[in-house]
Amino acid sequence: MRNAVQTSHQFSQNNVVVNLDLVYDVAANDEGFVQLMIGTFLQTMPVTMEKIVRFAKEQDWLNLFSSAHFAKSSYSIVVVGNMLEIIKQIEVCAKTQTNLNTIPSLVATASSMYEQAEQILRANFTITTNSVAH
Amino acid sequence: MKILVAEDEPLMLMAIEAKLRNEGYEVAGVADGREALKAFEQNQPDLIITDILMPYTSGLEFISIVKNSGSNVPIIVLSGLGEEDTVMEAFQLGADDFLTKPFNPTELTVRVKRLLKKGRL
Repeated sequence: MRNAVQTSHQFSQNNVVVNLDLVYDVAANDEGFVQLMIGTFLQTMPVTMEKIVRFAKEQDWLNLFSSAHFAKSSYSIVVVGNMLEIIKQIEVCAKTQTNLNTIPSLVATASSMYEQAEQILRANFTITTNSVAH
Repeated sequence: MKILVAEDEPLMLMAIEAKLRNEGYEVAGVADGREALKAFEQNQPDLIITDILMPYTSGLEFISIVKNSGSNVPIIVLSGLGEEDTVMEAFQLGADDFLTKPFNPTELTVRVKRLLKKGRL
């Protein structure tokens, strides 16, 4: 991993910082539960990000709003840079159907940031199918 | 004390469940409104925390059914910023308090303790 830095519960790579303070807080520092939460994030978020990209491309604003709304909760727990703000902007634009011209670049940024966050998490945590909550 | 948590976003549900269990509560977590209704009937919780946007039965419908059943169980609504109208509707249906996302563990436990204490008076 290039330029990998770990500080407390923060992990960074190429200017993307993943902050897991809240995850460790609710897990009461139980590493097994932290892995379970990270596993759940890595299982659910690719599907959600794929939906965000697809609905934005299809200009399906209602479903884009729903997917962004769904993603928002996860990004408030696994904090990835300013992803929460970007997702909120996508959610609001899609809901109110305003500033729609900003959506493609917001989605591209979110998608790129998620890919880096996934790399960071996979490099720092051992995720097996057993660590994923169902 | 038994707490029923209804939230369709898995990570948020896990976080709320974990925080409440760490505080010593017995927690039942469900991922949609239909399961929430079942769990409410089966478990008779002392407190309910529910999201609004959920599959099958929305949080608002769930609150309405619970309150129309004659139950006085306190209900906390989970809402995002910009959902003030929906929160007002939830209050009109009988919700007792609300928590805004992003998730704040301290706020969660304070509000839960406050409502459970109020319920015992």
